[in-house]
Amino acid sequence: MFLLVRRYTDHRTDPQARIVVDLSAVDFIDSSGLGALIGGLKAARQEGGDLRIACAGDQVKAVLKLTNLDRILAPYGTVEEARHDW
Amino acid sequence: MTGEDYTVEGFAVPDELESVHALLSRVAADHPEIDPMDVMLFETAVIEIANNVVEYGEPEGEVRWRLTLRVTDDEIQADLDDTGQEFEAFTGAVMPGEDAEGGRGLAIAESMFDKIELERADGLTHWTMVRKLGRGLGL
Repeated sequence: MFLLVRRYTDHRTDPQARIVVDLSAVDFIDSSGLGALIGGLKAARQEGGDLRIACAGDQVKAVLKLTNLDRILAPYGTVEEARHDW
Repeated sequence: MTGEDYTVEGFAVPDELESVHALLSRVAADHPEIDPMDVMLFETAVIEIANNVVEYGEPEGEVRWRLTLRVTDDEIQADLDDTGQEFEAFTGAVMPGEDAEGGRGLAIAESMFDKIELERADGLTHWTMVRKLGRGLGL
């Protein structure tokens, strides 16, 4: 899934690269997974877009909080909420 | 009270990380009294150390390991022996900045353990990793 994030940001069709990563099927994330999300976020922002995450489970939320990454990757409850102002 | 030991051994390769997750799931199932947050953060930290051995252990694909988990009244402990080369001892790993794509693994592990020690003896690296129970998110 994380590789798909990269691929999509590299070959996007949306010129603003607005991406929501639905994490509902992810019950565990490690530092490599975090790195891939940050890579996707940076790539999207470089193109004037953004990457947001939705439906994160407890472990993902805890790890984001403990690494302070929730400040730049705020977890949204649903994909719809993540896209609310797009 | 010291309970049963939980052990897995094999090669330190990516596919074997699933065995580490499975072992932690067994511990959680056998110990419903432990706060799931404690098991979850302990597992996160153990996986970071295991990833480190898988990624940097040499010779690649030939390193063997044995992981033993143990629960006591107030702690959960992991002992990991691996046959890879000596790791440089570390403490005080710094969490990198928000935009870093790597370098968080050891800092994550350190923040979630109350004790992490590294010893080298008889050609093995021995990791002792302890988390005190009831810490919650421990921020």
